[in-house]
Amino acid sequence: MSKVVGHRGCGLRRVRGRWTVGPGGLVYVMLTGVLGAGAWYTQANLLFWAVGLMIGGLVASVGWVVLTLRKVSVERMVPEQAVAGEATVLRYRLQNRSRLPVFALSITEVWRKGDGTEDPVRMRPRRLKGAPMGWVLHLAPRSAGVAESTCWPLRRGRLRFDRVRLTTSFPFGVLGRWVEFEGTGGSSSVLVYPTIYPLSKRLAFRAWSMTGGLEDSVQQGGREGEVIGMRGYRPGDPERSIDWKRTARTGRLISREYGRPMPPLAMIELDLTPPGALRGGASGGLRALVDGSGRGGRDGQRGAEGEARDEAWFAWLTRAESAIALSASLIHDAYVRGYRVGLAVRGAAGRAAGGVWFEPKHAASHLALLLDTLAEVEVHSGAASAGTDAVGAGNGSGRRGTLRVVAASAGQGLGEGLSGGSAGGRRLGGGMGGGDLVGRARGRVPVLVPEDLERIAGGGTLRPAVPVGLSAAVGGGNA
Amino acid sequence: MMDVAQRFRRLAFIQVVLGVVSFCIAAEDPALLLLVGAIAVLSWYVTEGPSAWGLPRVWVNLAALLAVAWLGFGLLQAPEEVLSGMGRFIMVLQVLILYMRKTNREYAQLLVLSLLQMAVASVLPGGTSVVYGLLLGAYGLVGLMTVLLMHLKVSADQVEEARREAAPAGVDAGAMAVSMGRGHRWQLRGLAVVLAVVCVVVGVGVFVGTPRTESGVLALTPQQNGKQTATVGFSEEIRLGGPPINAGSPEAVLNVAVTDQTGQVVGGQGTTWLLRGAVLDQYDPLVRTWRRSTGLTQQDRRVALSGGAVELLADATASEMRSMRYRTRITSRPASRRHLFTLSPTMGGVGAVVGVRSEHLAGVMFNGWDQQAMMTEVPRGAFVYEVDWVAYTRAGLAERYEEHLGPAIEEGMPWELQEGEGEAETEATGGSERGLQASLQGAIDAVWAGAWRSRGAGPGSGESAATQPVGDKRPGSATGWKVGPDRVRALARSVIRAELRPEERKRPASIARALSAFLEREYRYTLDNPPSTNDPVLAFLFEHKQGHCELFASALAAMCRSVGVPARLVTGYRVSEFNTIGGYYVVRQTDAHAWVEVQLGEGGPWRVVDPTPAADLAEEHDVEQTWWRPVVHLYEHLEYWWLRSVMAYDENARQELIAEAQSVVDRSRDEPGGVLHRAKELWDWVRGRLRLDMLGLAVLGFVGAALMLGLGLMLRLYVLRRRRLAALHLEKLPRRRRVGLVRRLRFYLMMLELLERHGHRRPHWQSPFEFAEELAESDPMRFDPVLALTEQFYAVRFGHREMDEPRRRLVKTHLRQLQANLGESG
Repeated sequence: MSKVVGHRGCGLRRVRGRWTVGPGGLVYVMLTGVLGAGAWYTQANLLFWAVGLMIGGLVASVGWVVLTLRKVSVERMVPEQAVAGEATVLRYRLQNRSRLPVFALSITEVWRKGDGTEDPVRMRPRRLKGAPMGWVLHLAPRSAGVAESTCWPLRRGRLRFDRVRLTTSFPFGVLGRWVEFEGTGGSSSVLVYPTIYPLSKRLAFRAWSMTGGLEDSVQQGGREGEVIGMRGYRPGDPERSIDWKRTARTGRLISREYGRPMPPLAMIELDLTPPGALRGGASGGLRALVDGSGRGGRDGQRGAEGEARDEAWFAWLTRAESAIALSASLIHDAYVRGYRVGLAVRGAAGRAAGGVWFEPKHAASHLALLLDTLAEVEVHSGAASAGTDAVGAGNGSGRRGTLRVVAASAGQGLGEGLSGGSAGGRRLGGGMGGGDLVGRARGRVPVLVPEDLERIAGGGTLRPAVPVGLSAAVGGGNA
Repeated sequence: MMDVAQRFRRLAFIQVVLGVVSFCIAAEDPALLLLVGAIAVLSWYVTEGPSAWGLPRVWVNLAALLAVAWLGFGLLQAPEEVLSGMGRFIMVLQVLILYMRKTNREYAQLLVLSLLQMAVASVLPGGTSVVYGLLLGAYGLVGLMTVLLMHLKVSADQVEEARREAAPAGVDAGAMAVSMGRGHRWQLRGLAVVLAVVCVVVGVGVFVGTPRTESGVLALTPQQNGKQTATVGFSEEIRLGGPPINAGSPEAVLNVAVTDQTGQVVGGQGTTWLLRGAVLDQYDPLVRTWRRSTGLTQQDRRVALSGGAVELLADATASEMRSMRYRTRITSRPASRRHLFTLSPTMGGVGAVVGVRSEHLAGVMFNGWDQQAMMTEVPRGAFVYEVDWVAYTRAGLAERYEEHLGPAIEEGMPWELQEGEGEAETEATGGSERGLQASLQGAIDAVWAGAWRSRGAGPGSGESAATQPVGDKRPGSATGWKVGPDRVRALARSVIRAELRPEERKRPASIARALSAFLEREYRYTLDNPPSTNDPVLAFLFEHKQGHCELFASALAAMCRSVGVPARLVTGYRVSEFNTIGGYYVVRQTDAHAWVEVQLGEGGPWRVVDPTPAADLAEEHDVEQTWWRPVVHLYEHLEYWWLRSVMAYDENARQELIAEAQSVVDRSRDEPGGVLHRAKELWDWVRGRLRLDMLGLAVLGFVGAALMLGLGLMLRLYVLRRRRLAALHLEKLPRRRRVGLVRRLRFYLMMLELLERHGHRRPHWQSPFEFAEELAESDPMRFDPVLALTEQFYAVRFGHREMDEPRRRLVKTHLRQLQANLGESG
């Protein structure tokens, strides 16, 4: 019995099937031919036997393949979210309605070409390095089973699945057959979160300290909690809050003031405003390449100027992705530390063009919401629309606990100072490196730039972290 | 998955070793078997043992190059040994790969090489043995399982490789999750059995149905087969004076079943026969060789076997002898010699061949003068023929053949024998084993004396016989001796004078027996043939006084001829080993023998005289009755079955099989006793009896079909009921209780079925409650009805609650709910 938690099912219907002859089949046929020629040449009866048995194997192989895949159906179960660079397990619920068992069944995700034609050339999205493949050793007759395949999404965004292909060439590999299924409803996509890197505990703590978000904060008011002070009685205060001893001593009504300690505050401001030099936008080819739709490709006739512009855009997009990953890592780190974490995004394109802003909270669902936003945020490929963002309008900008991540800044960020040792603390508010935005942020909000990702992540090779608190949501890590 | 990979490696190793062993057995090379077998077996410990060492690929490649050079050199040295050389080369390659660290590619190479090696082995001469056949069968079974497991492993490895490639650089893809259902091992084994049956059925079809050519293009010589030494055995001529004769191979060459006219098996353990092959009447002293004379050869008659049988004597003659007619059924291995063997008692008359039957022979060459029969064409492979013979007691046998076969046999006989004359001479054969032969020979011996009397002058003086002119009308040259005639004659006369009374010296039978007894007594039997510059016969008689059967026979023939008694040599087999399982005699190469036939006067019958010391001969030929002898007989019986059914299958056999199948169908349809015919009769009878028209027939057919359907349904219900009982663990309850419970607990079975359809199967070790609890824990909203239904199950099964209407409604509601939860429409 299998439990499938955190996965959504998607019914699939059979759409096509094909016969295949693989190298194993060719070798088999060749061997049969050699034995047949030998039998005819020598008239040795044992060779006639051997040829007969080989032909019998051929017949049995074809018959078995024909019979076994006829009544097999599949349902794909994908997790709602995944994390870029992390293993994502796709599950398939296989149903064998036949009276015969199925052996050695391969399950592969396949994608048609984007134009939807019946072109047999299949592609996989750029978000994946290889197509996910699963394997079933045995599927008992008239029963169901669950198989798994693993994929490693390379980039954030929505990863859509197209068709599932079941392939078998059991028993002898002489003749293979595959059948494809495509979705009939339900979800067949997974939202891939940005890569979440483990941050250096020490450096991250310093960074959070610089924002002032770690200072004790108490939510005042209320009738419960800890006593945080005394004050004069105000009309409306409950009788129970009156400190009768002090009242007697002072001769006037003194009320106890209650308060509740609040978690530290962490607000990430992600600025994806492209630099002014890139306002011309990238070529269509590069956009398609980065977009991962698979359409088009590099534009072969864009010229030297276009090429230079594409290179600049490519560098920008890389920085922007790093900034998003840094933001996601910070959000995750803050969540793990127990902080209330919020997010503000500006300079983004698409649906988030007007800017987004989330109040700091500490909850798994809130974390998922923030990461959902980062997963789907679109990076500008045209002119920035500064001035219209909610963040730009000053909604929450510059408040205590805010850490700004600026994608366009090319200089040193806060991370340089942090990793530089003792100077970091003293240079808070100043000396965080050059760059316009950094300069503008000086004295107000600590700023991190994409290059800081490597510094704050502890240096060395970046390795994705296993997200805490998301395992259920993203369907588990390594299977 | 690890289990599959490990089992595959083990089976692949077993298959390769089995192939190596089979090849060595087919090549009849025990030294190679020991050497390569040991090296191959050791490879398992080396590569799969604790050290898990593997030969580097470079070394393997170098060794393979050396093997190629060795093969080339070997072929240059002995180009005729191409097949065995190729087989050994393939074997070396396999052993090299066995010592490598193997990937799927190496395993595939190993299996292909192994298969090719088996193909080569199947063509080698040792490949005809039943041992090789059994090994081939085992190889096939192991190979089937190996291929199945290999497919599983390769398929899994491909997916694993794809997973690894799909993982980002430097990230461990982790272990692949393998999904497998319950009972996968048994189902795989069952599938293997089904596949094996399909393969065998198709294999039989291909084997039986594939047309064969008359002979293989590749006619393998012993040298090509890697067999340099020729076995000593039956020969159609005797060359004396050669090197010592080897004991020969114990390989069985024929099996001989003797039956009387009622089909009763004649003979058995302890009864010895002589199997006549070649009759040699001419001795050439220049080349010291006995061979058949041209005069006899010219009298050979070609007789066609119409309908697979021919009568060589007139029916009347045969019918006269009907009470003494015997049939010899001989199964011959693949042979290149053309002789048909006929049976003779060890002592006494030759008998008369009256008919030959065989489906494998188109015709025979038969000679009435010496009764030698030969095939006109030698069939390929093993074949079977039957020879009918009678214990002929009358003179003028050649004339009888002439009467029946036509005038080609030379007319006119110099010495006419008078039928039925003469007194019976008691055969002093002695010994219980000869009782049967004595009875066969009683009438024959009666002819002897009469025959000599009809001559008018017996050979008692010896002179008259010795001076018998050779240029008479009788074909052949069974008289006269030209090598040292005086010395030989003197010796013979001295023996006759010493051994026989004067009245006995006129009887050729007595003379022959006396000379034979003399040789048996005074000469020693040995296979070591001492070298001599003299003629071998003279050297045997006067110098060494020891030798093998051919020298004994030659000496007796020489002495008989020197005193005027016609004598000739016969080569064939001495048959004494009786296979009690098959009911036939086994004839081996080592049973090859030579003896003498002497004639009782001109035109008279010929009598077998064997001068080789019987005790020595028995010691040489008779098999020791040990406890394993029945096992040997069983093995040989199997081997003969294998040879006759598989190895000797050819175009003739194929045509016969097809014709036989056709005739069975035809007979069944046409003959009154046939199944189809009976069915048709029954049908006609039913129609006639019931007087049914077409409508009636249709109704009857419908009723019959309904009956069959009902029977099928009943069977199905029975099976279902057994399954339900097993699922509810009610088998041990009393019948009345379990019937009621099965009916009442059907809802639980429906629930299990519903769950099973969605991949939730209750393991047999899990109680219903545990099962329900586990489901409910995994998804409470979905499987809540399972808990409720399980409660009802317990209430009915153990609480003895009845399935009343409210409970039934409740159960139905829960089932519907579960159906809905599982996404099934009600």
